[in-house]
Amino acid sequence: MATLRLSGNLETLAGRNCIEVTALSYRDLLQELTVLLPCLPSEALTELAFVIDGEIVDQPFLATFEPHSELHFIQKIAAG
Amino acid sequence: MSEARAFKHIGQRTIRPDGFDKVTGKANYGADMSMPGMIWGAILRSPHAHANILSLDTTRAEASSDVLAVATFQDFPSVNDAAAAAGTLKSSLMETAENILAKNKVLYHGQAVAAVAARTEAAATAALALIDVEYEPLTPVLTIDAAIADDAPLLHPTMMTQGLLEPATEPSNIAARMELKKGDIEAGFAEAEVIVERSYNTPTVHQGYIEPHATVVRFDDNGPSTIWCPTQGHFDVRARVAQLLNLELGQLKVVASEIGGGFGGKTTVYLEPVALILSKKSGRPVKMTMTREDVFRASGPASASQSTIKIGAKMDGTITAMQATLHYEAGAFSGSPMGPGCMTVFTPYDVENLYVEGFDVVVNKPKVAAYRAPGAPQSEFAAEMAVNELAAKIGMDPIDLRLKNAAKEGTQTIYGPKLKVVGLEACLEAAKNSDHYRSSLGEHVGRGLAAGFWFNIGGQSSVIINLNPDGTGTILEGSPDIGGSRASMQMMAAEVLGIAPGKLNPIVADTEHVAYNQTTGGSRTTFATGMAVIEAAESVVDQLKSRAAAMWNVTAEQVEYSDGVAANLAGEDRLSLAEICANAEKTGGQISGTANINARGAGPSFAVHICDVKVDPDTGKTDVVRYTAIQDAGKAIHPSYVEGQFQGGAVQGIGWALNEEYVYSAEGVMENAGFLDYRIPLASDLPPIETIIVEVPNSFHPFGVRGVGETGIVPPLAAVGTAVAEAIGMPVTSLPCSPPKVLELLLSKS
Repeated sequence: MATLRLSGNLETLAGRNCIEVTALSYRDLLQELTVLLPCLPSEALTELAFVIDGEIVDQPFLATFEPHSELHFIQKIAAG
Repeated sequence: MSEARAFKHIGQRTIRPDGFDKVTGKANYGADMSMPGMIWGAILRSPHAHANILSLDTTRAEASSDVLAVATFQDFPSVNDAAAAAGTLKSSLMETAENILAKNKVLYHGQAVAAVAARTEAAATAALALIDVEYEPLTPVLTIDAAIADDAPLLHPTMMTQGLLEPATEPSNIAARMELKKGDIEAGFAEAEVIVERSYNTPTVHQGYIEPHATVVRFDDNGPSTIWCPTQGHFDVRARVAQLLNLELGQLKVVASEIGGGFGGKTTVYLEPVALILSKKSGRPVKMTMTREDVFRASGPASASQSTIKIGAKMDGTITAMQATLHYEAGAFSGSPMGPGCMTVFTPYDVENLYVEGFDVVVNKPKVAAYRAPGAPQSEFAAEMAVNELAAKIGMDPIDLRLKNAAKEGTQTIYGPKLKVVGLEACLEAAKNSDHYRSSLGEHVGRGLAAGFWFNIGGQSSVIINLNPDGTGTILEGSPDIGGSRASMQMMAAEVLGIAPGKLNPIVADTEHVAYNQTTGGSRTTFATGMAVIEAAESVVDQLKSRAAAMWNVTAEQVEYSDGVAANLAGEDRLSLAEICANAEKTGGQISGTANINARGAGPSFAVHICDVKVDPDTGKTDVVRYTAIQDAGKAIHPSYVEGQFQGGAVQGIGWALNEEYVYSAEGVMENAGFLDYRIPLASDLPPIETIIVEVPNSFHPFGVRGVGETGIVPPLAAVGTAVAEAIGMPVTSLPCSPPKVLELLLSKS
């Protein structure tokens, strides 16, 4: 199972810093989280950047990940 | 890209294609545009830093024969409160509208309250006196301490702090709180043999771009209305103006003029929506420009900050814990770069136990905007100063201390992901081996060293390459060129096509002539738009091979293309790119390559700076006597422009550290709103900034590129601050190190 690591305010909201998920795609992950962690609203997650194994994925709906992948949601970075 | 490659054009120092126009004054900037029938707009600005607007009467202005239109907040259609992106900084659309034209309250001195358009610039300015506004002045809140005090006047009476452990029950001037942690911070400090703890602050500073904001707008009922403006992102100008005025994107066309500096400050809109309202009402094109004073008082500067850093370490230099509490001023509306400040503060270090808490605080100053690596210079200044203090305390060389704890491939960042291959250790080694670091110091001279980190981003870029029948061509891109990117695009396309860069003309196309491009920012353009250029050029090469194959009656697989020449592997035939283009009409028509990408794999960039300063013990005046900037560029496409980015970032950071600050009266009026009193460094103030380009390739880019535009402003604050501290033998905790402040420190010492 892939591991979703939660940090910052997501960790606070979820009350835990990681969770194992069966999903292997971004769409399935969002769906699974509505059940596993209903305290994390999908709208809040989709505003964040999605990270698979340390790489920010700009097109998450096109990406898949592995059962041993480590996943993160982080603040989007733009800048000056 | 995993191995060193031989390049023909990449890495050369070609003449920039836009250089001649810029040095001869031919280039057209925002205020250079004029149109037949054009009239002038002017803005009425608030004389108060904090006040309720009791009444706003434009009757007398509207009655003036010279005035053709008046605009107020009421001219914005109802705007949703949906979050809209402005660089890194979030701001609701309503707040954006209120920042452009105040609704019922003014929140900083100089905030726009109303606008007029008149037949001449003088008439527009004079007509502002015909607008009657009645204010109820309120106590201004000008500092973080004042804003978070228990009895602080509230800027937004309904604003509740987001991100608290328990939902807020009372309104506050703290817009948001953020917490990041890794490991066990208490255990980390318990393990420490030495602890350094200190608080620091940095002032409000401006990007200092030379060209003030300007725009010319023509409303059109029958087609898209057109906006000309200097901007880092014309697609985002289109989106923002459309949102504010409830228009479809297809009703707007935005043309990016040449831009006289941006550094993050030209990623949002101020004049453009107002000019469109005035143009629609008057039926005339409208020009609006800011004065330098307007720019200081009413565009978006960088946040002032207060930071407390605590570091625990063993006597051998192993850092066991790092903790930060960071407060960032957002200005009048929420949305400081507190988030990236928290994420970057300790990223140069591979430490097990980290804890960071950040706060976004509103004050009665202009709403902040992005400024080169937004948020990072403030927080990393504090962290690097504390690391240098730790090095002194345990008697360890500051480079050796950093090498012992340096972030590297696999380092778990506090914000989540593990780092890929990065060049911090290579930068530290280059610094250690530099002539500068090995040189000795004179009397009253101090030396400081600091590291810096910025994420860098990718994102959406679109490019079209069209070849002409004579083998020349155009590169249509949508990334405004603020740092020499046209030259980089030209060189990357030339490398793939195997022709001289000068054969290709790079053009920054408007929003109707190229597909969507994200804003030029986040150090993304050479990386992401460069990837689109390479992809479009590779498409062109595929077509060149097919066309040659058609002429030779072979398959494309039987054609090899190299160095601008197609070769028939089944025979002796050769055709140059120009010869294939000359026959394009007979082999399928126009040869054109396109790429629309969302670039992934931006490589983070680290830098290390060394600074020597000499302090005059009688006046406190500080001069930088030697400065070296070392940074990982991945691969320098055009080394001169990479060096220019390093030098530009260093100079802006030196200004932030030494002299720049917004000086406010007790009433909240900025007292130094001009370059005479707001002292940015001049060429005559500084020695040549030495540079060392480190190249640790980014494997996600075909040529190994990492962004270089932002990281260079991160280290100078602590490099300069540490050098001053060493020169005077006193801790430095507050920027800028201006003569009065340094003299005060010297006097307190004596």
